[in-house]
Amino acid sequence: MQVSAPIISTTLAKSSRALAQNRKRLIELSFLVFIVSSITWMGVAIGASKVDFLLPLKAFYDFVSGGLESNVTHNIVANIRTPRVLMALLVGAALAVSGASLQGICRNPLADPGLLGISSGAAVGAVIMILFATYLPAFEFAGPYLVSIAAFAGAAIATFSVYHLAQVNGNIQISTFLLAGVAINALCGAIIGGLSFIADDQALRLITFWMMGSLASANWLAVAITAPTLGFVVWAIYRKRHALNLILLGEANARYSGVDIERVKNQILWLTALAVGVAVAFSGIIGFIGLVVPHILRAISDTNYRYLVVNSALLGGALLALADIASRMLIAPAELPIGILTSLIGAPFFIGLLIQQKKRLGVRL
Amino acid sequence: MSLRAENLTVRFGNKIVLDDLNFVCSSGEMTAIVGENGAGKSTLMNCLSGALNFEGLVTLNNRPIKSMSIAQQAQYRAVLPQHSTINFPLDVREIVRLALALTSLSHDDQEAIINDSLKLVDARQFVNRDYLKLSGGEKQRVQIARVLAQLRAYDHEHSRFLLLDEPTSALDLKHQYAILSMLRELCSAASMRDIGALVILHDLNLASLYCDKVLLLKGGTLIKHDTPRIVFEGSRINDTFGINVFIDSHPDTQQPYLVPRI
Repeated sequence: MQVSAPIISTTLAKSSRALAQNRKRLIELSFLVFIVSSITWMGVAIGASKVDFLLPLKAFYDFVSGGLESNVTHNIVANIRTPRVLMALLVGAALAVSGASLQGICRNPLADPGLLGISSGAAVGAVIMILFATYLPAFEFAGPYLVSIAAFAGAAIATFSVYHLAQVNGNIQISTFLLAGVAINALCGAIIGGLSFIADDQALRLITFWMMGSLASANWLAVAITAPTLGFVVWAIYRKRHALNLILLGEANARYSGVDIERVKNQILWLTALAVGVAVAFSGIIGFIGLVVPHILRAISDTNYRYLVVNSALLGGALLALADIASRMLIAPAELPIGILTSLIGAPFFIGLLIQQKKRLGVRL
Repeated sequence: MSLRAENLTVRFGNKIVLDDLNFVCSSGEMTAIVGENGAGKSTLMNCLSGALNFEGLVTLNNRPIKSMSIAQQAQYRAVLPQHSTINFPLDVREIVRLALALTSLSHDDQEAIINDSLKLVDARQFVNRDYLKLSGGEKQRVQIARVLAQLRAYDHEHSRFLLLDEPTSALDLKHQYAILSMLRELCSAASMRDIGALVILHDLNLASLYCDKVLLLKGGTLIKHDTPRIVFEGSRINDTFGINVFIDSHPDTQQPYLVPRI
């Protein structure tokens, strides 16, 4: 059959609408990039003691001219604050993109790596590796890699357990999904708590770090491990954008439209486990970013994964970097665990979403 | 070109849900699948669409459907399931555009196909509305438009099949007629000789008025597959559905018209 499209008199109107649509997306993207850049700048400029908006430039000058070592403040900027801000951007992006894609494959806006226990699984993997591998001579140089791999393994185990627990007759029921998440979260919390007390002296610090998250230990090595991993995950998920969009129609419809649904779901689960694993390995459990960010984007922009993947990465990064600045400033010189902040913002959001869903789906939830 | 079933059998455990079905549906033909609840209509649809495993053979344009990849199947047949639930806000245009998501069509070609498909189901007027806010019948028309768009999404010389599970269940009377006559035209139109449709219907009169063939199922077996005039014979309908009908003929088309006796 010939499928050449007939030329319709309204082509002009259509094209101008498409143009306006494209311009809107471009403005959104530029706005997000602008937000990310300004928050990055702020994050580097704002310190516990004072705020100096020229500081990033000064430190960069010292870094280029080789005078970095002689200036303590500039050294702090280059080796502590900058990687910390970058890490916040990366972790936020990883969590937001994971949330957006998990919501896609379970076709429900309530999915979030924290709520589903994926973050806890990653934390268990990381804690186990830290406690038992510190005795290995290799831990000296391979430590961060080993911890990342263990966190990835933990995240993958949690992801697939939750996923298979939630399957009822081959379908994912979001209620069972969240309940499975509750179970895995409880189990992992207990394991982390228990393990933390084996390492007695650091026990409390460890619990705080893993259960409430922190970006305080960020360094350039962490950035170097996380950035390419996240880049790969975002790229791979972006490539699945059409499939993710089609899954919004329901699994049967997606399959009838040509999506190899089982394969796509498996790939997305592995990719989110990878992103969450690496994020958690360096920052502990930070909740709700994956829930809040895609929700905001769907409300102000579009459900289409063509935009949602990249926009989630940008907004997730910006939001977490902002939260990190707040966590440093609110009770300075002490630091508020960042997970507390994100939960404070995220939990009401979650409740709101629940109410919205209850209204729309009735007993479905 | 055809959609063919040979010795098609489906078992759920020990229960035989479809029992050794053999039939051929040609392109250019619109076939109604009718039968009482639990007769195996949807199961048959799932087999023909490649979603359900079965014994025997189903071929699409002489190729076994089991040997085709999911992406290939999508190029030769489009399926409308009985229910489609969407949980995210999408406007009508985006829903229909999803049918073209896996193709490499240009934006203008996509727009043309989307507009044509929406026009066929009388849904142009709500093209920019939020799908979630539509009525049940409007949603059903949009889903039909999406499936029609999928039929035109791929460029090849082979015939395409539409598999529709109760496409008229949520429609008002006017749109029941409009959609079915549109489908019939689509199948019989000279330029579209290579589209065939299989439609699950509960209203036997609609089947009689609009379909070229009727495939009558009972308890998983094929009772009769022929034109409405032959299939809709009083005693056969009475036996299959367990009701008492009087068979009249439609004043305009002389097709059988079923009147239940009270």
